[in-house]
Amino acid sequence: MILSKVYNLGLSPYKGRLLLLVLVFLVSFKSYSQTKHTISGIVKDSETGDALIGATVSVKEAGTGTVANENGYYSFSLPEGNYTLMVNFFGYKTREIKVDLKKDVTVNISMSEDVDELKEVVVTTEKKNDNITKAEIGVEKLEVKEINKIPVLLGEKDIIKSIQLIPGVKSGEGTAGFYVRGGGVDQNLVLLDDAPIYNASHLLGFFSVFNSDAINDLTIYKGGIPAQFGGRLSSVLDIKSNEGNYKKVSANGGIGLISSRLNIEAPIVKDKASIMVAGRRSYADLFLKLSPDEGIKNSRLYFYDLNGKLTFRLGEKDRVFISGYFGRDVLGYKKLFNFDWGNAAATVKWMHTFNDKWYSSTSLIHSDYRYRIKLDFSGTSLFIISKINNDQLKQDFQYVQSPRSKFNFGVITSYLKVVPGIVTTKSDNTENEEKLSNKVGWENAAYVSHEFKYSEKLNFIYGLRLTSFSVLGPGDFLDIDKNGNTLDTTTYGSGKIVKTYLNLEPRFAASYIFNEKTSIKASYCRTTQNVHLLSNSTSGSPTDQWIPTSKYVKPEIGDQVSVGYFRNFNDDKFQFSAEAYYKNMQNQVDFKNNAELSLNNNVENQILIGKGRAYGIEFFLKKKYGKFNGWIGYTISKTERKFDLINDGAYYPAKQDRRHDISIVGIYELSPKWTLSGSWVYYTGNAITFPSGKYYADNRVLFYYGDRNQDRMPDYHRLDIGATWIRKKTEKFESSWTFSIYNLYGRANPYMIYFRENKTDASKTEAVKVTLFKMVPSFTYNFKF
Amino acid sequence: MEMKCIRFAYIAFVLALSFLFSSCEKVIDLKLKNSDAGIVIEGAVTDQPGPYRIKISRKVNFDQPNVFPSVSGASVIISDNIGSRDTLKEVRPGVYETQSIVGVAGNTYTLSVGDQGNTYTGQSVMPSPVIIDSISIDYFLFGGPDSAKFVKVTFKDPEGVKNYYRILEVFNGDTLNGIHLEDDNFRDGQRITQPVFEDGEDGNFQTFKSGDVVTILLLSIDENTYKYLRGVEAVTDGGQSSSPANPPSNLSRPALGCFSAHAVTSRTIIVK
Repeated sequence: MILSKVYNLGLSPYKGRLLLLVLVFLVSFKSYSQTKHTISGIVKDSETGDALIGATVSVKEAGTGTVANENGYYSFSLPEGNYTLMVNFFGYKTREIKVDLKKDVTVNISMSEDVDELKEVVVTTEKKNDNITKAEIGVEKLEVKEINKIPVLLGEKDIIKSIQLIPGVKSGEGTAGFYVRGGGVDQNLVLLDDAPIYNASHLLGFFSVFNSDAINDLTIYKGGIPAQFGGRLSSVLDIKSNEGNYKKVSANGGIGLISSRLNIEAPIVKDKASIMVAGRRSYADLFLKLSPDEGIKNSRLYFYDLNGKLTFRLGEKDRVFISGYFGRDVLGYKKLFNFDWGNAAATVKWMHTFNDKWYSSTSLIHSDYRYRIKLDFSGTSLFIISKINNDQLKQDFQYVQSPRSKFNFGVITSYLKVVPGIVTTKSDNTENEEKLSNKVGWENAAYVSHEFKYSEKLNFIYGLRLTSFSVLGPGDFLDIDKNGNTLDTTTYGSGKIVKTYLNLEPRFAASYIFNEKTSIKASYCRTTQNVHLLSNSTSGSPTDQWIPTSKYVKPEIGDQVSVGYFRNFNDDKFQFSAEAYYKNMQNQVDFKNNAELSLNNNVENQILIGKGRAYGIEFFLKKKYGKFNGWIGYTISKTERKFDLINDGAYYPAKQDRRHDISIVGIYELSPKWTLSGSWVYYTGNAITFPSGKYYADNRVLFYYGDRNQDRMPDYHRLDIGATWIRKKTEKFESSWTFSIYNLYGRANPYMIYFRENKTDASKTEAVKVTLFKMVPSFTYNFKF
Repeated sequence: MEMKCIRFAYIAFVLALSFLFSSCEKVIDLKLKNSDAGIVIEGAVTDQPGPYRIKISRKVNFDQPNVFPSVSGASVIISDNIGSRDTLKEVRPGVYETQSIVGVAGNTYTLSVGDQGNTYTGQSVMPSPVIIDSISIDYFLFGGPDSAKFVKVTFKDPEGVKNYYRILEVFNGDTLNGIHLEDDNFRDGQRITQPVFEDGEDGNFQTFKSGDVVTILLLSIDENTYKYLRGVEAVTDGGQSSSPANPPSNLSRPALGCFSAHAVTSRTIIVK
């Protein structure tokens, strides 16, 4: 028919045939697109019904694939035909599903846990080399299942302790927080279900606030931070908590030396709504009760955490969760003294899938951190409270243009309020309240990010983030010169904008794939930060003060360039990477000498503004699958800071500067019942200031200090071993014992070094090393039903 | 006070930890940097009768014994803002005494030390004395009379002026070593009640028995002296600061130490 029409148009047969060809081509093209159908569905855990976020669904025949979104939802369009879907998720059995695609279909995929995951080599699929093909650089994702095998102090499995074994992530024994690529403790954005956690550690950093029973997975971005994250300079630690079980009531928990924990999951409406509640409490203080000493008996020292999550699945396309966290550390002595501190966070998030291309999530977030000190003596009491408060509203969109092109964009508004200190003194019948002025800030950001597969060889993730931060009244705002001298004070009313800072943050990452085993990657990212932690002790204290950006304290700006070489061996069983980075940091804060930080209304004039730089190379060799797995990491790096008034304006080593850092982790499955593990760490001691002399004044010997951070703590190394014994394992009940020995060879690593007069010969002075842990054995009983 | 409270919280915290984990301590041999033999100048003019003393010594390396070389033969002069000028006399090696000058509250005093061709100067304004209302021996309310005891001092802060105080305890004739510093932040013009905790033996609080003579000295010091003593306090308590620094001296660099003009009041009780 078309042919006759062409002839009727009076075209020559030759031209007609050409046109016909074009038409046929167009028609067939059209019909090709018309007969495309959509396969979509949800990937979930067969037992609990939890959405498996990040499960990869690939089509064997078409060579395309996608990743399940935060609803566990996946979708793609394909021409009519027979296909095999391959579904992969770490720790789960790979599934193959045949689909005869004639119309749009919903294929919900249930996956079961692969209990033998560590034992047998799972069928390798193309997705096992994600580390090679993705443009992401400086990103490490850990599953809690993986973490649970690593031996830890006092048997408290701990996600923060585990990420510290990754190259580029550093910490010390008894140091609150962690350092990423030369950044400070406060330069990590720690997110629990999108809520920022301001102080992620209990007991001065010996334990993290994250109860690993309540955690599903975590991802750490050391470099190449995607544009959807912002607000901190160095890294993002994105932690997602567990969803409740949609099918049946289940529980797991453990009884350990230092604490016990319990996690209960249950459906509220089967397959529709679920709840998860997890709690943990340490009970070392219960032993204090046994002491005959009245004082010790009446002392308090414990911490606890509560996590909860309610999830509602409203049809296939909507999911809502409400997640909450509350934790406290408590330290007290009789009624004389009480000191407690902790975080609280809550998130309400609604995730909506419009169609196979559009996806949205809306979150309302609250987070706070506070400490309180109460002191009572002789009828006079003193009460101090200090807190930081943050509320956020966030809207994110995802647009999947094609399997090769994906857009993320969104906006966020965030209100920050710091109450530096309210001091109430009460004696007999007078009460007096003094308040340091509150510090208020309003942050807004918009971002767009594009993940783009240019060709089979070349992938990009690039984006832009625009951040504004407004310093808000009320209060007196100081004009301070760069050496910290106050020039002037201006008073602003409530809600008045004192100053607004605008920052544009470009983000870029690219990978070039030589072959399925080898790739190189590069990234550049700029990040900014508008809250700053002031800490003047070597190990960090719960009373360290957060301050927002102000007229004097400018937004911190970080620029990081990194390049990496990635290579897999032996069917991706071994993954090797080498990443080099250079980071430049502006508007860093440090203290004047003799700074008075606590409860100082003009804390800003105790601060100096300077800059920093950090560079290094990280080597990482990981064996991810098989009976034996683990990794070796090595980092060589340098971190320096420069302030006009410190060390005469020369670059000096930052406290977290560490030349060498090695970590080795091994996990070996001996039998289905026994798993053995070990880890060894070594690192150069932190930079510190030791006295270089002494003199006599004020009727005492005083130590003399030279330039800052010109000395080193001794090198640190430690071997830990552990074993897990699965005592009983049935469909209904599982119990296991974890044994571990921390610091097996009893290395006396220094927690701190202090200096004093010799106790027997007062004419001498000496250096004293304090060691906290020399070989600590422990065991934990775990159960699950 | 509040500052102390936070420091107290922090120390209690570290103590609790070391208790919990039964930490161990060991004296180690640490290679430390050497320092030059810098000059240390210390002394005060008070509103009490003279003579007033200036001590001059030098600093030494950390691993040397606590023998601090005294500086002899220096030229030491104290002058005030009303025309007095006094050249001090060296009475013992490194110890210099005034001959004539009289300390009066409100006056400005200037110290000048000449040594080996260098001149070091410092200045201090003597604040007005503040009267102690009362002192008593007290104990923790919740601990009962058998618990740790301390001296309680009460005085009224003068309103409308910035005041800085140092409290010293003299116990049976010995001046104790505790650093008790106060300012009138948050409580200008109020009656201030201050506990004075002193160390006794083995790190316990001091103990009192019947017949002990306890004198409290209330020093009204100027801001620079206060900051200097704060610095002394900070370097005395262990070295957990990530930015330890020498107490800020009010003398010309690189001299260490402090020249202070302060007013003193006192009150004595005998323990029943």
